[in-house]
Order: sequence, then structure tokens, then C-alpha cells
Amino acid sequence: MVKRKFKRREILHAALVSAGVGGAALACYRHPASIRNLYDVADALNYSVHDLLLRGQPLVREYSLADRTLDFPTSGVTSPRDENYQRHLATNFTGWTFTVDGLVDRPLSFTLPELQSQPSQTQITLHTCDEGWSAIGEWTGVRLSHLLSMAGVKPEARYVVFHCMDTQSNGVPYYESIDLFAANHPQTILAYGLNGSPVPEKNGAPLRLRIETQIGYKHAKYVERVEVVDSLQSIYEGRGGWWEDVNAAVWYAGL
Amino acid sequence: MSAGANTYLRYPLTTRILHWLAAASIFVLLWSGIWILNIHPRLYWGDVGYFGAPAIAEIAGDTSTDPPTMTLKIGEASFNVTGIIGRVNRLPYVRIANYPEGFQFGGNRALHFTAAWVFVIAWIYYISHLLSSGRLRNTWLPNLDELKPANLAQDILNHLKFKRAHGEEVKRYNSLQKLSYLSVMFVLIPLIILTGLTMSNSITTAWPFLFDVFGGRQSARTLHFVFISLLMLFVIIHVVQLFVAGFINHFRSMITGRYKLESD
Repeated sequence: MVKRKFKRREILHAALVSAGVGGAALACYRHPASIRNLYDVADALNYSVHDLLLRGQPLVREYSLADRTLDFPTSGVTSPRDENYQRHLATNFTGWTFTVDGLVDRPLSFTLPELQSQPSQTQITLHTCDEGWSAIGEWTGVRLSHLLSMAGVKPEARYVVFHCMDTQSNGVPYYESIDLFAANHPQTILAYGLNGSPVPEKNGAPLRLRIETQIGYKHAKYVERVEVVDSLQSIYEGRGGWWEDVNAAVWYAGL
Repeated sequence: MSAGANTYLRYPLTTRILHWLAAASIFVLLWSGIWILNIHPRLYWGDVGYFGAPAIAEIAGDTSTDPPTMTLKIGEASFNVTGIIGRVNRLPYVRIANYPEGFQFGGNRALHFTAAWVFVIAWIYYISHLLSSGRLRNTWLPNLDELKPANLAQDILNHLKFKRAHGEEVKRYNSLQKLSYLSVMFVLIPLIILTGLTMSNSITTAWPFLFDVFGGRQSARTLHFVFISLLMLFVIIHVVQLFVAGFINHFRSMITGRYKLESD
């Protein structure tokens, strides 16, 4: 009797360990960047476990108008040095165009007023920075899923890359990426309004990403181009974002 | 006297492996956590907190002096902590453990999450081991006699006098030891894990009630720090007790598993 019980426990133990190792292997396979070390394994685990938790696309909590942080704090670049950007800023982005391209059936191009004439959405949400601060903002913009369905995403597409106008200290423009599942979250928007006004320069004028299920550095500012791709490995250093490339930041930043 | 005859197996292999895995991951979590806290060395209550918002506690830097003057403010009290803790050139500074060469804030966060996985898996494994092996019932749970006020008072007195256990007494945990292990394992560590998870946007999207449990995103961050401080208090007492009870014998028993009984 004792012997049989012992065996059953061993089988259960082996099954749990194999399930864990198998799950981790599957998570690593799903991860968009190459797995180089234990950090990347943890990043892959975070990505897959959070995806499981978010599989029903639950909405983030929304706040009331009174909760808003009116002078919205910021991190990173607050005034792009790029001449091209400063010229657009000086002319209120009148000649500026925003594009959606890559693995889509119909590449799109919008002026700012054209983008603003698309169906809009306003949400009052909590923004959290990986440095530790957080603030509540009222964001107005167009759903990314709306733009993606207008453009018609090709079946092989997996990720959405946000190309930005602010060149960073290493001479490379800021960029970020999320997967199509996060891109299609109902609260993932490209925002042109903050607290009832156009997005200020320091917060990413004229257009920035709001990816409410993830942390600050994923919310690319100064976005000028959305590119739909099947892999992130050939874009810049291949880690899926500027901080990911230069600072070993985790790609899946739901945490 | 032969060593073999006078020793007994105090810690099974699973306990020993998990103990050191937990110890190592706690060290890494504390190390990386210090840098995460120091990039924004302010604690708040509620959902909102940023430079400019009122803080419960903060390390304020005055860069008009060279080197910058760092002041730790907790409520109304303030302490000069220049050169001990604070920020230099936007990078965290702690005197006892300055940030390593080539410090990357992103990589440091990745380290924190990696160690957190190791810690949480070790904790879950430990809990299931405690339950399935009978170790929880046999060695951790105090019986009713041990919980009687007179016995607890005697145990407190023994601790205050740094009195060592003798003879067969050393084979079992005393009641304060049992209660502290139980509260760390089943209360403090779950609270540390949950307050950490409440700082994750994805987790609070899936489980928004966590905001209500801990009073908001910033409250969870502040409580995470408070609970870690309590865990550090436990670790310090744990190590002090080792010296009181006989460092080498206890330390060795957590490596080889065997504890040497005193010869009377």
C-alpha cells in the first residue's frame, strides 16, 4: 500500500515538472525575440501567463473627470530635437501625415484632421511608469483595431510596430511593438487628445499610443507610422523596442 | 564520540534546496528592488503619485549643492542622508551597494522579474511540500498546549534571555519559532507577492479587485516596501537566532541535513 502511494506521488510530481518545463518551452517559442538568457525566459513566461489571464480582453478600470492629473507627468524625451519634428510642431502638424503599412491589404495615410474625423474614443485611465510613478489622464483617440481593420491585416501578420519621430541619444528613433492581440484590445488607442486638449509636446504630440494593459515605455510618443509585421527580429536590434534594444528592458511590459 | 551516532536528520533534502533557493532569490530581489525604488525614491498612498504630488516618504535631492544634498523625509520628520542613499545624475545611489558598472534600469527590472519567478515557484513548491510530507502538521503547527499563555510567556522570556534549547528540546521548534515561520510563509510572503502583482497593469486588468484590497496602485507599491521591510526584520532575527542557538551546527544542518546533538 505504502509503495503504491509513493509511486503515485512520484508520477504526479514528474507530471507537474514536465508540464512546467513544457509550458516554459512553449512560452519561449512564442516569444518574439531570441531567447539568450534567463531574463528572456522570464519575459517569455510573463508574456504567456499574462496572455492567458487577459484572454477575454477584460477592460482596465476607468476613473472620473475629477481624478485626472491635469499637469500630466512624463519620462524619456520631452522635446524631440529633430528639425523635422520641430517644424511640424511649429505649424500645428498641418502638413504632417500618419501612415499604416506593412503586412496590410490597403496601406493608409492620414492627415491629423482626417485621423480626428475617424470614430473617436475617450477613456480616463491610470498611466504607470516603470520608474514607479503613476498618474490619471483622459485620453481621446482612435482605436488601433479600427485602423487595422480599415487597412486589412494579412493572415501572416503577428506584431504591430510603432515608429516615432524622436531620435534618441544613440541616433536611432524611438520605436515600440506589441502583438496583434494587445493591438486589438478595445482600449488600445492612438491618442491625439489629453485632458480635453491636444496632446502636449512633452506627452507625445500629435499622436501617441495608449496600451492600457501595459506599462509606460510601451506607450510610444510622437508616433508617425504603424507597421504591421510577422517578425520583430529584423527591426533595429531585434528586441522589439528602443529600451529593449539598448537597456535590456523586457519586451512584454504588462508588468 | 562518533559524529554519526549523535546526529539526526533535521532537514530533508527538499527543505534544504528550497531554503537556499529562497534565500538566494530574496537576496537578488532585495538587491534589484533597491535600485527600482531608488529611481523614484518616493512612496505614496492611493492610485496616483509622481514628482509634484504629495508623498508619505521621500528622498529629496537638492542639486544646488555639490555633491547634491539628500534628505529623507517621512511625514514631518526629515534626516540628512547625503552620501548614504539617494540619486546621483539620475541614477540610484546607495552607499552600502553602489550600482554596478554599466547598470541598466531595464535589465535590473528584468532581473527582479526573473528572481521573482524563482522565488514564487520555490514558495509554491515549499507550501506543497509542507502539506504533502506532513511536515506542516508534524513540525510547524503548534499544539494547544504550546499556545497557552503561560507557555508563550515562558518562550518570550527564553528569547529575551537568549536561552538555548537543550537535549531533546532542540529537535522541535519552540512556539514563537513556529508562529513566526507560519506567519512568514502563509501571510507575509503571500502579501509580498500580491502587492507586487498589483503593480502589474495586466494583472490588475484581469483582477481589478487587487486595487481595492490594497488601496490603489501606489498604496500597493508602498505596502510592498513595508512588507519587504518586515521580511528583512525576520531575516535579521533569523540570523541572530542562528548565533544564539549555535551557528555552525545549525548552518551545517541546513546544508548536510544532519544536526549534531549535545553529549550530556
